[in-house]
Amino acid sequence: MEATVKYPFKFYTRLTLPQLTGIYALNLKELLDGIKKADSSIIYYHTHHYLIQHHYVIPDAPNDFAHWVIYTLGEKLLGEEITSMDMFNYNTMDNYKQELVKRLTAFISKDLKTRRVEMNERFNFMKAITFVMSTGKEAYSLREFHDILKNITIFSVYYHFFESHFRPIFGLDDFSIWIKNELQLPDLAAKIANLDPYSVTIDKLKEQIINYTERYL
Amino acid sequence: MRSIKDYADIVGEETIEEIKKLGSYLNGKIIQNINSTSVGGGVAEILSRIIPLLKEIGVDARWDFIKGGERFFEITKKIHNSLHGVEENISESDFRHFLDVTDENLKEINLLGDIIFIHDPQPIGLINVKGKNGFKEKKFIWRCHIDLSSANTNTFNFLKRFIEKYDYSVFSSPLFAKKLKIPQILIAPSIDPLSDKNKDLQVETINQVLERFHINPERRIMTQISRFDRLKDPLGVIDVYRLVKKYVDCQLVLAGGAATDDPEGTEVYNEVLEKAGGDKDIFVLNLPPISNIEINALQRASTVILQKSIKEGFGLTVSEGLWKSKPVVASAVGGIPLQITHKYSGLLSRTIEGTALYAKQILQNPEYAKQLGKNGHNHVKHNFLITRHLRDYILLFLKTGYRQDTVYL
Repeated sequence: MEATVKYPFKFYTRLTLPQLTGIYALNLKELLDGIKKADSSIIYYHTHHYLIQHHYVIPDAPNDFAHWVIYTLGEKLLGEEITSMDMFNYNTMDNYKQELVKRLTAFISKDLKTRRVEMNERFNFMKAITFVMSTGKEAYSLREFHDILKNITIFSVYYHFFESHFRPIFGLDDFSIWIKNELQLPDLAAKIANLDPYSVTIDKLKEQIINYTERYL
Repeated sequence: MRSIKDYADIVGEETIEEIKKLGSYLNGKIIQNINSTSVGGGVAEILSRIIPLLKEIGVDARWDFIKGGERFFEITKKIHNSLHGVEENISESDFRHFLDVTDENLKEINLLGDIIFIHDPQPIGLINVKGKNGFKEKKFIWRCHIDLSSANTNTFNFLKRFIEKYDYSVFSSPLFAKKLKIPQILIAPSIDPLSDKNKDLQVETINQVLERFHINPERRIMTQISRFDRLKDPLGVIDVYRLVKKYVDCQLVLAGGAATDDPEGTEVYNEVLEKAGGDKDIFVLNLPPISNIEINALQRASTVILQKSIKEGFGLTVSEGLWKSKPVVASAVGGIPLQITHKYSGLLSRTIEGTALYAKQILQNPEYAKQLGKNGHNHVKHNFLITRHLRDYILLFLKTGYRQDTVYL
């Protein structure tokens, strides 16, 4: 008989619609100005939507700022610096933004001339309208958790794995918290918590969590 | 009639479940779509597919049309062209007539929707009822299917007075939008993987089509599917073919329509024939509009697909090619860069020479071609299929009921 728990894991999903802010940048200075003015939802959109839109791709420059700096402005050094900033080192989008501003300011202050692009190559600042919805699926055991996980969209995985890092308790994903606290499986929880979602695809991440879970069934 | 369930094999049962659940939150709301025609054109095509799917999942979606005489539609055609940046002479009297017809439509049309979803400029003036008794609670959305980036200022300003009365506007790409005081939501268009143009075909069907047009299936085929229109640069495609042919043997297929009522189309078609100059390896196919299976077969038979447009709208023919797992070389214009990540899901070019270089690379490296095609297929599967479009429209309708940016359903 498989162990069941009192508090089930409730699967939610998160869907978004992008919205234009009307702010755009044609060069690095304008990008910096835009970032300074941007609120957390704008920073969050540009650091995460790429992961969802290309969730089957191993992220190259996994955020829009880095992508634009590398592929449109041609600033590979700065782009790599932005790309390699570990999102999970920042508890809030504002902390991440401050670091980003610092690095861009430092680069610009070296008085390096960077190109100004045409309007059709501009960086458009956008934000996401977010919808969070219960999938109606609940797991009371590891078996149920595993079976549901196999049949949910990547948007649900995204909600419980990426977004959770920026909710209290900061820095942890929902899956490992529940597995540790409810299922009392700290080893499995640690394995899942240590996955690096920014260097694999979300499809792969889902597969890895399923594989880890299978070993404990 | 296709059912939402038919898409589960392509996008997964879980995606369909998610769409159905989202749709259930629109219970009790009437979504009234309004445009100017039920047939012809991309807007009617997408509505004719999306509205039955919305209904099937329980959303009360309706579809109505405005009326207008010959002069009205001549004016709206000029407005359409002018928004695309084409020089048009639109007189004060034309604008007056546009407003008069709008008033007549407002008297006749029953705006019964809770959410009124207006498509493109023709019915844009219906917004004038907003704020009047009986309409205060209704939400109005304007869906712009046109690229406004090079719109004529006068024409745009005429429309802007209507646009900014809407609660939301929707554009296909950030590059197509203009600065507006109202929220601008981005929803990309889509292709239907189960339509005749995109569904899987038997090898026999593909071969029959090739045989009918005397194309050799054993030799490499480079294809561009598009109208005979200067902006699609069919003459440039022949230059590309000649540069490629110096090194790699191949056939060129240029297939599309040239409407008989479009004098320029016929002119371009004749120029293409002349430039082809009787080359037996160039197949210039002027196909009737119903040739969806033929287009599908030609794309599926291709070794490389080109879209060498000089200017483009969203350019969904690129997604059609990618959906068939074909390597695509396309110009980095309009919505094409949203569909192709260079060297990953296809190749983006800017010149005839560049296009030829990339086409040669693909023709001579089948493994590379295969990988580009596979990645392109995946990108379209997750971003440009009708199921994603359906989900985005439902989210848009839901958003009209909330002020905040994060909605807990």
